Amino acid sequence: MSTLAVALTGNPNTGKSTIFNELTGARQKIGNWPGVTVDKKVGYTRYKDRAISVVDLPGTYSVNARSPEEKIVMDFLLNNKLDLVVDVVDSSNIERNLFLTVQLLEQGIPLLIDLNMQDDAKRRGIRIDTKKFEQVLGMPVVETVGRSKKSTRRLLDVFTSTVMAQYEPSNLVKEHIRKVEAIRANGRSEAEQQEELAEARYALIDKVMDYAVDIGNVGPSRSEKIDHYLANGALALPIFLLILYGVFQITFTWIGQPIADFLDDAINTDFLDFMTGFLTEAGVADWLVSLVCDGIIAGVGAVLTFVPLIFVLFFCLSFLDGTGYMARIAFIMDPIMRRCGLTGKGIMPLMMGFGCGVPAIMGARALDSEKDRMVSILITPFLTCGAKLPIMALFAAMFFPDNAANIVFAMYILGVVMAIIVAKGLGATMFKDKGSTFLLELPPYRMPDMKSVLLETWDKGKGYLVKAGTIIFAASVLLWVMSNYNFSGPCEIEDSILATLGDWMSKLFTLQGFDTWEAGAAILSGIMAKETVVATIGILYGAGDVSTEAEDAADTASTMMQTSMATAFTSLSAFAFMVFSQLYTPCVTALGTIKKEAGGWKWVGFSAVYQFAIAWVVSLLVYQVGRLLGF
Amino acid sequence: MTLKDGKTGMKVKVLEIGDSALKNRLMTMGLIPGTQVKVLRSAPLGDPIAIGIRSYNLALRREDAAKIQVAQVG
Amino acid sequence: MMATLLVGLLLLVALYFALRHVVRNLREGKEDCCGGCPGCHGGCNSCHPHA
Repeated sequence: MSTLAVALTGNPNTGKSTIFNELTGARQKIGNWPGVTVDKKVGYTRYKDRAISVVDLPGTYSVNARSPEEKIVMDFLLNNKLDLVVDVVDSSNIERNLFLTVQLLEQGIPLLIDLNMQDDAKRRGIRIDTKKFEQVLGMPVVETVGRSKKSTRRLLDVFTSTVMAQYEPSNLVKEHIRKVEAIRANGRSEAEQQEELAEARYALIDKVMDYAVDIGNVGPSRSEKIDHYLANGALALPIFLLILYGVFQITFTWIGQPIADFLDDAINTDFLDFMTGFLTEAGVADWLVSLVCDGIIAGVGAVLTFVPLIFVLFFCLSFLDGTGYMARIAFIMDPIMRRCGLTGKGIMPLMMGFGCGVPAIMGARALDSEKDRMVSILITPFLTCGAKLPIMALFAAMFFPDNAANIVFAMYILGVVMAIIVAKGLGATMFKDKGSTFLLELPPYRMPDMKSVLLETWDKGKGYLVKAGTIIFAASVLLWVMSNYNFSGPCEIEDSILATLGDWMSKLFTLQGFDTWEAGAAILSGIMAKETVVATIGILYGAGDVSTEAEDAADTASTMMQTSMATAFTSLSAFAFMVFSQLYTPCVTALGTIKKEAGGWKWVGFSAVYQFAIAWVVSLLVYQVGRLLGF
Repeated sequence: MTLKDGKTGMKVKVLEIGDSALKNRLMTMGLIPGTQVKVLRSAPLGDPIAIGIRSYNLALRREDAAKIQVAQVG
Repeated sequence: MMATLLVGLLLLVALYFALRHVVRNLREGKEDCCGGCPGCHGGCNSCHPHA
């Protein structure tokens, strides 16, 4: 028998991804939809000797082709011969969810309606009569409760049975379809037609609700009670800041940093020593030992050390997202964001920017107005992404050991403040009279499903690991070659190509106090990928210093670096360097994304140049004012 | 009156949705003439406001709410 | 001498795969980089805040 082709569709926040993960387990392939950078997830499973492929479509409220996601869903459903389309419906929010269902029914798509989150619905006093529901729509209906083997089996049973053939649209639906056809043929304007269609659809939904759904009166929901504190009243903003600070502490003090310290020790001391000994013992030529140890292990190791921080941070963000709190952040921050020339919804892609600028820049496309989108794209790179974090963590730990977390926090704040200032500036000049809008669902609070949170954390953190193994690895080799050779052959590091380039670069930073060629080289390499700043520093300062090992094992790695870096930076110039790194030209990947999303090289050039200029000026101010103040 | 004038806890019925860039999306989200709306709360700084419709919660700005004509029902 | 050759060869193979990955990414316009996408439950590229 041929493979059964199934697609999952539904609104955002319906637990669709959880169902997808439950159905297909680890057998997933992630690709791209043609022409757009939206993930296409396909999973495979077998049930009762039938091979099944499941496509997870992007979550949308409707299929009006307003956004790339909506267009993808529509095109995919119309152009592919699917055996079955599962419409995942959040039962506790069934009315609004049915809008998409009705739109799909109008297209004559073979729907299986999955009433998910039954437990939530029951708690809120919403009782759905499944039998009547099937009758009134003429489509098969399955009840599920998110993550449960029983639910999954119920779905698979329907997939593999032939019940689909027995269903046909009810008279009510047929009548609705005739009405829709009449509206489409009435010759009014597109906008008017859309309004009439929306009214007709909700009229049908009202009938369905009357017939098959009973909404009890249970008073304010749990979410509304929580919102009383988190989205309303004087405490909402302080609580938001507290939660943000908590995420920070978890990442940098309580969980992430201790693991990172341990890893640092393991890679940059134990493993390094072992490899040096092993390779020398085996009779490998000195230059190759140096390439492996001082080049690759130092470079890749410097980046790998920060993997725990990245994963912990991503875990926190995924968890917060799963609870539904992110929408509240947008809600309470909208007036503030507006004053900054943005919209509350913009805070969601911006928060992604703390992970990585690339998805954050792409996320901006969900903003409604041109102005919001462009401003959001252009300010995102100011934020401290996961790749800049190692720079901050390293310098803070070395030069401000007593205040490391606070100094890193200060850098995050600096990034945010610069983003705000620039947003205001752009709003007042280049994108002056373009409006912005705000319309946002506040989903109910939920305890996030741990499996999904972990999967998502892995999905996102994985990229960092892959980068360490590929581009950082290759860059480390290149940097090692460049720091050990010049055009006439092997040489001392001071005469190397890298030193020449770095020296040339560092001329720009005499007024900022970090005009060493090492810093120059690090800054230059950072344009490739921000992780390489730390990799470069690892190679340049780590090399040749293995002899200065301290007795205290835990401090070995940092001491090793401190001895050679201490002379190169004062705490003030280190701070100025952090400020510069925080703000300067985004990495190549981010620039590429800006080109795609903002549309054109013009914006890439603009972004690269104005960020460099701002970083240069601000780090100069920091250093010079700091000196005047006697630091 | 308009939705903007709704006080917390007030129940209203939508009469008309004025023309705006948001009109189509508001209707997609279930705000149709005749729909019952409960005014839930405003954000700590007074804007935006949250409303309950069709058993879910939606947030919108006051200036957009001002374009939605409503009548109080309870 | 043998050891140098062996390690060198190993390194070259690793470098080949690493560079191939980088070049493929460039050509297909993909990136490994991902962020804490708070707006969605999709993969890293499908980030889109709600509503």
